[in-house]
Amino acid sequence: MPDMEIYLGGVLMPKYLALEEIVKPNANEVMSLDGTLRVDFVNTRRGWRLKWGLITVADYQTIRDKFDEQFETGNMHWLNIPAYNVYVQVYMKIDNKKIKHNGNFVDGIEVELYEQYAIS
Amino acid sequence: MQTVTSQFIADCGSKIRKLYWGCLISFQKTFASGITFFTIGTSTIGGTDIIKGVGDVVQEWDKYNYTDYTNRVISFEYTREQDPYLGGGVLSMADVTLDNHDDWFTPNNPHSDIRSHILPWRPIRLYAGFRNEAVPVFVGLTEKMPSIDEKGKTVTFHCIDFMQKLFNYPLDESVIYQNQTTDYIIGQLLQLAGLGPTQYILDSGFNIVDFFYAKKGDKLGTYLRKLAQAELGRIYMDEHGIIRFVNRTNWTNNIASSWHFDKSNILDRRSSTEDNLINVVEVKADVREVLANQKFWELQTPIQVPANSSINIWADFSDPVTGVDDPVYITSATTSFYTTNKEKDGSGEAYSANISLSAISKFATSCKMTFANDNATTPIYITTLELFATPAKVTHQVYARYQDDNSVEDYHERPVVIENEFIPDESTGNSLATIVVTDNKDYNDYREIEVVGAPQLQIGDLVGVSDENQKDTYYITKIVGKMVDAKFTQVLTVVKKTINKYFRIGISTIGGSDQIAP
Repeated sequence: MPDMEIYLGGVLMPKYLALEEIVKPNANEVMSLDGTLRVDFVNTRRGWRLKWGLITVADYQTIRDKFDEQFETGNMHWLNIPAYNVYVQVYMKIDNKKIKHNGNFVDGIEVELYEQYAIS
Repeated sequence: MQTVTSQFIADCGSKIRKLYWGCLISFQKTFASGITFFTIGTSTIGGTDIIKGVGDVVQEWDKYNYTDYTNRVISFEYTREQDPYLGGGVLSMADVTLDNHDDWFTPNNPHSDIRSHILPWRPIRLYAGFRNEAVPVFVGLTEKMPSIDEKGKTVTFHCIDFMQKLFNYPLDESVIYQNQTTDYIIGQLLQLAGLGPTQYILDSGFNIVDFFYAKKGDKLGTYLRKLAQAELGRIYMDEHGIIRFVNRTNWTNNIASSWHFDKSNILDRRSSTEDNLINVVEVKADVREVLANQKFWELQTPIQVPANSSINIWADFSDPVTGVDDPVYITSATTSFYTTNKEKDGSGEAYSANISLSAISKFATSCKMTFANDNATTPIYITTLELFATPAKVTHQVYARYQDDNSVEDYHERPVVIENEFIPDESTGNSLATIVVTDNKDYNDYREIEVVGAPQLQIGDLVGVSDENQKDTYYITKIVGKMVDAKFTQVLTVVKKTINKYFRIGISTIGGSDQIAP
């Protein structure tokens, strides 16, 4: 089975190691005097975590450009995962601490793509 | 408690609750021309739908074009409160924090369409609820310019309820009412401020004010508060924006407990040093009384009426009057009169046939008279002018004092002074003092509890509160609602209080439960 294609801002992302779905309720726990747990929630938010192994500097630059672009244009990128029927605008975060530069290659790139709107 | 669906009640009590809220603001303050009602999430932003009050009541503040800023809300907090001990009027308040990442709410931001409308006194409405159902919790106005957090890119509006607008309304004219109930006078004053009789809901007042006088230019709030306080009633604006006057015993209509709080939905509780004990009350009032017809005003110096002309003379009274007799020439006068003469010192010919009172306009504290001279060649003086009137003067001071000795011995002296000119006599003053002391001489169990929020609760609702030691019902006297960090909580001030109903002629029934008034 071929890898799923992922497009960010219309650009095909380099081959990746893993794609994880992040589902996070926008909620808060309320604890009463006797320890009864209640939860007030507003909605559920979704994001996607993409991880790469060793990739070329050129591939890294493709990813990095998308990250920088969002701040230059002030617009969120469209994330398109055709296999999942996902086509949404996302805010992109990069975990810089994990990135290791190794000459012509870069390792440990991980980005999180948070959807602009809640899913429920 | 506000009327809500059974689903709302079920959602409110659920262990996992999906919060829902609304925030509508009319920065432009334009009025909608249509009369279709706004529905959060359905109506068009900037459209003509208006916010509906309760039933058929449509207020001025219902008619603004509101814009839905719900998706900008970061948090809001509101406070509603009433004084169940001494009555009066308390305003509600709210603080709303909105997302301002694009400087939309920053005054004079050239990229914001509402830049020139970010001003104080913008109508705002807040709602809170669950799933797709919300109840109103605040209707009011932004009080000042917003507080802008540039670093956090948020903006906070401090808001006050519309009652402030009414309280600040200056009276266009002096008004006098005699022998009227509190609710009648409040209704008349609200109508002077432009409200129609369908725009407020007033309980029957217990107090009959012998003489009510309000001066032109005075703010309405002073009188509304004092009228309510004179019978321990309360005037306020409810969550829908309806102005209400409730009498002292109104809360006794709330028989069933609206909600129950125990350790499973109480998040925190605080003891308070406040106990609202009152065991000594002094009542003071400067009482006006309408006096018999008497000489009340006179012209200080003669005034000349030019030939074939007329002049206006204004009489300003030191006290309000309920009637003024028209002045007539002295020879046929029994009360108000004037004299005329060709000479200023009265030494000449009278020319009385040439002078006439052609018009007279009477006001509460003044009177405008127009005198005409039909002699084509001779100016004539009005040498004397005296007006007889029925003035309402402060004739005596009501002083009443009541003390409960046992309570003073137990709790030391806890005095309150009530100064209010609408307490008509010693008898009413004594009764008022005794009622306040009787109702508050013993410790009223007073609690402040932070709870899982129930937005439908209102001031005066009876709620059950139980803990390790007891289970009882309490009246809510204050609500601080907080929609913050994806949770809705409330801090409730509740009091266990017995509200005695005293016998009133024409209202109570013989053999009924009302007690004989102290």
